[in-house]
Amino acid sequence: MEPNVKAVQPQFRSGISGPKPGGMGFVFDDIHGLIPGPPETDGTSFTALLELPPPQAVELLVMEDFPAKSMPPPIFPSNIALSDRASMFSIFASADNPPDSTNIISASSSMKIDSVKQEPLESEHHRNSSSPAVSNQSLKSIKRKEREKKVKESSKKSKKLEANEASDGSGEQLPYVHVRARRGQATDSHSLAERARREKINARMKLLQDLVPGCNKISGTAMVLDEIINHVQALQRQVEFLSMRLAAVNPRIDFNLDALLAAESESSIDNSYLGMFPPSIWLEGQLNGSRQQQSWLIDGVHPSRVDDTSNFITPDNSLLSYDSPPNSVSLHSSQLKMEL
Amino acid sequence: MSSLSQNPKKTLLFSAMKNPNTLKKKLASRFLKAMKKLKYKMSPSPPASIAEKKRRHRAVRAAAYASMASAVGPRRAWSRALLRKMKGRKRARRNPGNMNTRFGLNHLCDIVPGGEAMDSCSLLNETAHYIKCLVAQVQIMREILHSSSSSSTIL
Repeated sequence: MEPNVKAVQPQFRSGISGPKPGGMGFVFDDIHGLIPGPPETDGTSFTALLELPPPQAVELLVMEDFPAKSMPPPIFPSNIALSDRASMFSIFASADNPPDSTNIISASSSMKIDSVKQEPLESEHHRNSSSPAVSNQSLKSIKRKEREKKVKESSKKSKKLEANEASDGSGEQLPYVHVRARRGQATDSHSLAERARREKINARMKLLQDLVPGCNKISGTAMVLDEIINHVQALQRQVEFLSMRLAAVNPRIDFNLDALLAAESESSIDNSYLGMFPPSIWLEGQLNGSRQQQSWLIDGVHPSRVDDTSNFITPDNSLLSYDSPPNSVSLHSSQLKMEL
Repeated sequence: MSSLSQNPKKTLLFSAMKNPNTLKKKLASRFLKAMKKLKYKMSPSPPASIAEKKRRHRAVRAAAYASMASAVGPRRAWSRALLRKMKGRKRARRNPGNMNTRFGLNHLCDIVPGGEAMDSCSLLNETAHYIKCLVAQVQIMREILHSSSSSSTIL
């Protein structure tokens, strides 16, 4: 294995310096020679690379004299083959696409900023080799990292990455991130983006469903939307009515913060039905008088949908009902019976 | 995979928004301060005319919404829109081509403050937060009423 590797190595440098189809064909034969050797490299080239900790993997990619003795892991020969294969692919990619190499270089600058682990290794390489070798190695390592990223990204969507890499090794270019669509779906970039948006929106609708009581049973987004709208409007109407009551009661209230907050923390049930009668009784006149003006009291904040005041008896405000007086009185009496 | 897309929103909801308790306390303190301010402006006896009642009612409601918006701060689009409305500035209706992508959220954008200038995704976000704050505000107002009316028994 080692002589093969050493013969292959000079090819790295020449591959980077200029596109040489003949040289690449030779290298390609070497790859085919390498491939059957290690048994576990069938479709798991990069995953095997990924198992290694990154510094070791980069060292594998980069090492000049391949000291097989110094490497601890016993699966080293196969990893050499894998790393060579990876570097071959990187050569192909960089040789085929000059614009892509600029991408790699720009990515390399960003990678250098990101990866702290790479730095000591690159310093090692500096003292070992000349500058084209350094750029070579950094390019290789960066390309490997990009591969890893692509692997992870595409594995999010599907499991077909090995076939992709193998087909790329046959000489096609590998410039972009391949995002795989799910089975049976269109692969336009537009439709993919739209699908992502739709999923986002559906996720948020689910959360809204949890927030609005009674929405879980409803299926279909239109009805759920209606329920949400009803809920928001009901809440806004409650704010209206409560503010009206507060405005009426206001002069008598001392807004002593501590006392009020302490009172809030008490259990509010007996307070509520004690407090229910007096305000309802002496506010009834006011409510009746002001209900006719309700429609144009409601300004600006939300459109007037005051016609369905019967909607107001929702479970969350059964304690305070501002319906027509007979209904409210009957509700109070029924609630008293409930309490007792 | 759906959980991946949901979890960011959940963490966003729980991290960007406060727990119900802290939110409620914040809303309560602001609202009570606003009501104190209002109280000094009002005449101590119940007002005779309907116009006076309407004016008071509108003032209290404005205080409720203003305190809610200022407690939330400018972090949320709906609170920013509400504060703009309170200060009387212009609408800030920047419309990045929203009508095409609306899919039936038309009513919702009328109801939630600042709803027109948002895309569907953030509109749903804002609605969720708005509902939370509204619920808290309603609870606070109810509790104030109950504590005040139970303390001053008119039976």
